[in-house]
Amino acid sequence: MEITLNGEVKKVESENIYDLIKSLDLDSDGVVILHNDEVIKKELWSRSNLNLKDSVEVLYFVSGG
Amino acid sequence: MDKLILGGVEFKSRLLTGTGKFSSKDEIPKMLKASGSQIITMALRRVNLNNSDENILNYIPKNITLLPNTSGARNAEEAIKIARIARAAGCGDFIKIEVINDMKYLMPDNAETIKATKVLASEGFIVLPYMTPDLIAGQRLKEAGAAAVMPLGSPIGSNRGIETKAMIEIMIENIDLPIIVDAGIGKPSQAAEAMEMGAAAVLVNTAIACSPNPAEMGEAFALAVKAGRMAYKAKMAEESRYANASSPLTGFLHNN
Repeated sequence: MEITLNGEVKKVESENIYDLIKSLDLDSDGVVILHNDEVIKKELWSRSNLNLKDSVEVLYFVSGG
Repeated sequence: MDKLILGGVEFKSRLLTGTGKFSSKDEIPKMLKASGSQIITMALRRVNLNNSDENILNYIPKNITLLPNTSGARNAEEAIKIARIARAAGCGDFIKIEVINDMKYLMPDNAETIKATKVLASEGFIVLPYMTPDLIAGQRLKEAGAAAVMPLGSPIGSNRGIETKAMIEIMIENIDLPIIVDAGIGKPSQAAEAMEMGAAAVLVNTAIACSPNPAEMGEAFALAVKAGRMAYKAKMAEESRYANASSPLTGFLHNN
């Protein structure tokens, strides 16, 4: 299924946000997930199902003044 | 005690710091400890999915107040969106609004900043807007519900000091909110100058982060901020054009 992940159209197998993040091979501690423009708390990742053309943003806090 | 109060929260330190530009993030907690700074800024970005970097929050002790900024926002809507995401992500209620379209001098857009301040303050954020020094814009920010106003001393990261001194002095005199000088402060003497002028606090990032010894520079800034504040409270003596003898002009050597 195709979704938009961090601005790029991608084919993914994951059924929900939890699986998607697991498949990305990144330190999920402290990442902030926007699913169709809404922040999804970590405990709800596995209940946030992905649908065709959904948009997911994986954000985190970085250095800045 | 002479405390800095922002949105009802009390702080002992009047030195706000930033997490940008450190050569090693391990220097950040050391700098916070040495400087006593209690508020630090950070930014929100997309994760680079090919090259995962470390979360900056891992380097900030739990007792420090997080001040996420809205850098990257080019208008009020984008700043509001970033602020809401930061709060939903557990960063607390503080937000530094930064709306910038000008990529050469990184000058903030005051009109959009006022709009964003109004919306976010009404949602319960403690709003600290970064702005181009201007009395009227400062008053509008107060009306919009800002917790403080943060005029720039000179362009971000330029280390040029307080080139906007006259404008900031007018703001300090006429706006009944903490005025925090943000951006451009390059050395401790300039931080002391801001505090002597009556600024409530200063925000320093580049000058500390780009020192080969950020912890020591952080402490130097903390001392300067303290000295400047103390001098402001004790009230400076008047300036005058001509000399005003500090010692008696010895009368017995000359008759006039």
